Amino acid sequence: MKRSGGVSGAVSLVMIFCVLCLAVFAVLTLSTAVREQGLAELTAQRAREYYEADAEAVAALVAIAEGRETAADVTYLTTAEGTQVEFGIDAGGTQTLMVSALFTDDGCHILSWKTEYTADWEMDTTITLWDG
Amino acid sequence: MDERIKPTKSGLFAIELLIAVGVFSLCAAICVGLFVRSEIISQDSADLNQAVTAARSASECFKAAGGDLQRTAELTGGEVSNGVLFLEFDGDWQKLPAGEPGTFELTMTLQTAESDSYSSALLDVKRWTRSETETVGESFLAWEVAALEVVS
Repeated sequence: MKRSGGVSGAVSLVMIFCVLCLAVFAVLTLSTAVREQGLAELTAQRAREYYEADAEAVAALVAIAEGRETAADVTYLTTAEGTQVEFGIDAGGTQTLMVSALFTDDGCHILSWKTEYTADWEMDTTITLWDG
Repeated sequence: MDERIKPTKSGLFAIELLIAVGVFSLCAAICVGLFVRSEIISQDSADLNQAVTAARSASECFKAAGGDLQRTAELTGGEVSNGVLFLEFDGDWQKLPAGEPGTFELTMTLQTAESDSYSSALLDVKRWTRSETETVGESFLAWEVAALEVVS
């Protein structure tokens, strides 16, 4: 009767393949998780910076209304309806919270309260496009 | 006389199998450790994302309510106690009824503003770890929110 001894080296090959698969998937999972964490922290930081800028803008607007000094660089514009004020507050990264308000006899009217991209914009010319 | 024992084919196979199982176990233990670490990091990221969403929602309610904490509580479904708004969430970020202690807690504490014309509050999100002996709260998100008085 023939004795079954197995194929020498096959077990090692299967083991190496399994270990490689495990290692690759483990590293991919970890790198994805770390990137996700970075994105989540960046989102939280941006939100924090926005609300800090927002609180600063509210304080500045109230200071202007009460005739007090404010740290923001305010532009005053006198119009037929009243005095229009405009200022920007850094909201982190390349964002600035731009506020525009009109002060009339009725009180303060917010004209705009929005974040704007303030970094220099450069046109990407690296890709050659077919132009006919 | 040379009487060396010649290794059999099955004996060699058994040794190879043992070594393979040992090496595989070691590598698998390391990889499982990495998977567990990834799972913890992913869970923390998901919690932070959910906390930012809940904090943004509460902040906007505070602003819409013109800085009135009681009105903010009505809008968010929270509870005001001693001048602090409490919002409780379970481990899956489902809102819990007012007064029920949760895994995550969002609080809004009114700050003293420089002027009466606006209100500001300190928003804080905590993760509570409860054991039989002690309860530990860890703050992982905080910011200040200000609201102009809403004139209707």
